[in-house]
Amino acid sequence: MAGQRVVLTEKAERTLIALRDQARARQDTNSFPATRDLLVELENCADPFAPARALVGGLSTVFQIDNGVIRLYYTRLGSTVPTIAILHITHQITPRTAPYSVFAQLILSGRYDDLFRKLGVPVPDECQNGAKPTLQ
Amino acid sequence: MTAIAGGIPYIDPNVEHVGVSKLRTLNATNLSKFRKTFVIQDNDTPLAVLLNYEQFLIIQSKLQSLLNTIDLLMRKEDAQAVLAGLADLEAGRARSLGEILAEKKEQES
Repeated sequence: MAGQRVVLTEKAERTLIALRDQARARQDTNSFPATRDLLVELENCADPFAPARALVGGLSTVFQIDNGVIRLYYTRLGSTVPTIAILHITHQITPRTAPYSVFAQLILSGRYDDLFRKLGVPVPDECQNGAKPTLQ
Repeated sequence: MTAIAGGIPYIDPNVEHVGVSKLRTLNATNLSKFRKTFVIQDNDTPLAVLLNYEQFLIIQSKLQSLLNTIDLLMRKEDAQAVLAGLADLEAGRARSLGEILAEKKEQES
């Protein structure tokens, strides 16, 4: 199923145009080509709706793809002739090589500090040197 | 064996607890037809788990999907942007990539 139709929502279109304008102004020459390449890759992808690309739970109709620079969130539009609808384009991506960094971020967010204290586990900001660890 | 709600034990017929010696009976032919999960034990101590390659890929894919979802939900701005994108789509606010790029090209020429 290659050469598929790709549509962009208004929000995604604004991001794409902003990236293109930034590239023209030479403020960010990397993101627009990376986005364009990723859109072409998605257009020609054999199975853009593979289960491995899907999110879970209430977001199970949303899929994601990234190329290490840009990440696209998209969904399927239509059933007879499936169209890829780009929902969001982002630069803030977690390296694929470090999937557990997601859990580290969850811990470092401080959201579960009370739970850790109840369990007797020292929380990151209680490290000996007093410096809060950060993720690279 | 895992207890489910109500205290009724759940026995997964696809999981077998086997001794290390079972490994000697495995070859390419029976591994290619392998559909069960073996928990390989030394006496009563579990040492390793053997499962079909496709099953492992399914587990890996589910884990990756879960991590990707947590990753998105951790970044509020991106999560809100995805929801805004879905709202755009529902309201019919979407255009084809070709149309967008052609329009931009025309504006600049």
